[in-house]
Amino acid sequence: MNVRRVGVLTLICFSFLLFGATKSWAILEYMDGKLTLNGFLRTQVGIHIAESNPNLAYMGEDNHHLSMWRNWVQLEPNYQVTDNLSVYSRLTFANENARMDDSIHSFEAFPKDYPGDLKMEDDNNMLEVAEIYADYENEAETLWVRLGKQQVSWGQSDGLRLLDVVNPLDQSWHGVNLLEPYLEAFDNLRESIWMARVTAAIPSCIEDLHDVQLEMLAIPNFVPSTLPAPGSPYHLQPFTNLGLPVDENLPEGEEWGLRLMGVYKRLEWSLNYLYHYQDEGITDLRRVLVDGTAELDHPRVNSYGFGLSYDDNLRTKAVYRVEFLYEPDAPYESGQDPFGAMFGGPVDRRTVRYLIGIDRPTFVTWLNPTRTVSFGFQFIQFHVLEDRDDLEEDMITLNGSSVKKTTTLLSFSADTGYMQDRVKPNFLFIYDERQSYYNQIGCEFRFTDNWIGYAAVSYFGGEDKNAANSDPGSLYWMDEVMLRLTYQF
Amino acid sequence: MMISQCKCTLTIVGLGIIMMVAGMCGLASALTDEEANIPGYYAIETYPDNYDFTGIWKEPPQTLDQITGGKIKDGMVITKDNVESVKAELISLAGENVYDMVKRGMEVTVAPYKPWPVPKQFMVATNANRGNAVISEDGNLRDKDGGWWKGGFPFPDLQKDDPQAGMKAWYNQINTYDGDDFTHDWVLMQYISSAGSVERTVAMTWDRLFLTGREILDPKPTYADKFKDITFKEMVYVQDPMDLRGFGNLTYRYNDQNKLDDAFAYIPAMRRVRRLTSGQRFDAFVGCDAAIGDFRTLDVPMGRWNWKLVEVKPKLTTLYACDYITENHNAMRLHPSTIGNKFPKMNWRIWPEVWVIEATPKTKQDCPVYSKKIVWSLGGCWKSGMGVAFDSQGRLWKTTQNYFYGYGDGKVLDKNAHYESDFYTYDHQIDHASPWHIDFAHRKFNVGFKPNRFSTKYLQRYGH
Repeated sequence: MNVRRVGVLTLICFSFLLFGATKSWAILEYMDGKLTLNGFLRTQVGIHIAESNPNLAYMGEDNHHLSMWRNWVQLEPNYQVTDNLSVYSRLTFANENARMDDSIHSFEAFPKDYPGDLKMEDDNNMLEVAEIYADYENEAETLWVRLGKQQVSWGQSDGLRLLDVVNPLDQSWHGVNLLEPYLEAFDNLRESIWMARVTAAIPSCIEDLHDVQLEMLAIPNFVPSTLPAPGSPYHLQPFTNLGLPVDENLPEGEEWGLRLMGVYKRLEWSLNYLYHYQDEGITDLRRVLVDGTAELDHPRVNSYGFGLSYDDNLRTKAVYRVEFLYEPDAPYESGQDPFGAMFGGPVDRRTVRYLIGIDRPTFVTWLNPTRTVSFGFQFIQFHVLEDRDDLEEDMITLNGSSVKKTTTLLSFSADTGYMQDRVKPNFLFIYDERQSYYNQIGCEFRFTDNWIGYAAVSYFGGEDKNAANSDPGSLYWMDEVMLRLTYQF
Repeated sequence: MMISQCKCTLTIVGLGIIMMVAGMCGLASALTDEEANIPGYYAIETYPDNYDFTGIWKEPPQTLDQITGGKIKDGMVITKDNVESVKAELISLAGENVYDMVKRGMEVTVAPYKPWPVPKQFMVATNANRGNAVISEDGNLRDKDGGWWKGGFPFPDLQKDDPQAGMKAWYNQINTYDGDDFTHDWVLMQYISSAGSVERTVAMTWDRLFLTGREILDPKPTYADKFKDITFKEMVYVQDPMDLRGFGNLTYRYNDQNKLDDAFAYIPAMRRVRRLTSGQRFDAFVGCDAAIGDFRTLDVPMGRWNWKLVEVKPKLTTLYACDYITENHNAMRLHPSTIGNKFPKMNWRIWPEVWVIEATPKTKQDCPVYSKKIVWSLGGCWKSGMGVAFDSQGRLWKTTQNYFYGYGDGKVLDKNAHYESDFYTYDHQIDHASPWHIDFAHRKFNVGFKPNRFSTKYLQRYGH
């Protein structure tokens, strides 16, 4: 069936739903409140304000002005079957109109494709069941089971992913998370996948040890991250410049994870382990000389980590966060020059990533007499612990850059609310020690309970444009102004 | 292919029609007029044996007529048109802040005195522990044996000349009858402009489980030894609007009144539980005019503030403020108001003995925005009715009030549960208001919650 037609039918149904609902405020209710429905209609525009995307140079494109014009409807029905059992779903119909910019060639706007994605699409329209799961909690409230297509987010970091490695990302529609409002960034990009999530409360007889839980995840099928398709204004893969076809190898094994967490005295802690595959993919060039094809591999990874947070509410009035990730087998792109003598596959390196964060809401009364300004500061380091020099000196990736043995990032954020939080400006700055940076200045406008606008400018800059190291400066071509208007109910 | 297209179309349209029909069938849960039009003092007059009236006046020692020389009488409505004729009396009985609000359009309906007893089971605990309460050097409320307070009013026989009278009167207030747990659904926060229009709304739930000082439900007085230092665990989560829906906050409140809460928030946009600092108790709560520190008129660790008794005298208070069961969620029987939705139009009744307390933060760190708060504790029932905040220059800033409906009627509502109809904040400096309307039909007391519910697991489950 034509996706556009299904979308129109969805809207017709939506109007039926509106008429049939009992009204509380915005949320719609049916069956005496057991079935609720909320959601939004949204239009979102990305206006490109930088030089042209070098990854599209091979297509001979002129610089584009419209990176994205996405219209979407999202419905979130929730059915409370009993006090212990509920079913939740998130349904999305999206339409992408960036092609209205004459500089943009036709491209596949919704390229993600994996078994069980529950979507139908054409180049510009998509209808999907983005999430669907059942929740069960036993009578004693000691066991909670969530089964279905869902998201799990681990960790303590803002704007970056360390322990947040359970779900892949769908970067196809807005490039990188930094272009979205930073506090909701990954939620908009994270791809829900089929999994079983079981959380058990563990009885504790230790004084001051509370809320101890063991979370177990079982993911039957691997789902990779989805990158913007060739031709997309956000296209990220430099090797398509060379005209290389890419053959993606999708592993078929399962993934699983454990998280033990709790609160001891005033310290919140978690211990995490995930046995998984690398989501983004590592380019393997060994087949290039054989049949001219680049392979995209997803090697197996063991991720060990922990998270801590502590609220020093009396003295410094700040929350301190620590997140730590150790991967004994973190995969890196094979570093050989494709035209050199040596070819190898992806390599493993012991790698550590950690973050120290401080959040401090502070009254700056000359700026805002009734609302604190929430200041956030993060110090992030990635260390390759093994064969560090080789990695940095020899491992050359296709765009000529290499992974650094140590990467240091600093981030600073601030946000506050005016007019009863109807106007909420925010600011995020990320600085890479190699003089590369990213900045987002945005503001949310709550016109009514239903109508919400958001405007932001994001820009990337600096000298270092190391794409292999994901330096912000390497995205210098991605600067944009993003405008978003939402009607929610 | 055609058949599958038709099936798909019919399925979608059919689902829509089913939803429409189901929705129309779901209109039934509102109360009838007969069920709803019951005043909050119905239960104490119908089931007097359910309550203990110790320390409560059957009739006030002085009538309002006698106190005001006949200027303010029961049945009178004080409005901006007649307020000047009773200015001195109104200021004496309610405060400069209320006079200011009436001048700006609030109406005070003066109603006859009604006693406010406590459920008998609560008074059993008070009597069992009578005489055992002491305030330790660090400002904490303890038993004489050194343990934490076990429940009931700690100082039911408080005298005005007690050097710690201010602190003890407020300890009575924070230990007043509140059930051993409770739940509210669909508490409606409104943000009201100077003109009285609703600028935005937030609806939320509020659940609390007391872990120590339990008086009604077993196990008591402490849920389990491992919880002996925790007063309660509490969860608040947003039900509406959609972009905030699922945001939840889990709080641990400690018995030690020199400690601040522990707070954990589930942020749906991040799909994570994040630690929040409780260090800034006077940050505007979700942007409204009240802060967490203003809840129940003043909600701060007592050891971090100074408490001075100013006076004990009769006051006009907002007990039995509303004569019917409010129903926010069904959008019926909402709360009467003047100047649009800005000022509650409620009953005010004389209460013979109100303990007026001046509370000042010990350091600027404890409250960066207020120089002091004047709060009321209503002697006998020890409920808080009024809080008045002054800015760092000592100027009148905010009024916070609790409007109490009364006890449940024993039919629709639990007669052992007391109900507030509104928690209300008015910002005098910017002429802006934040009434929170409580939906009685969705409030329950002594539910029997278990500690496992008050966990980050539940925050995640609810928040999606």
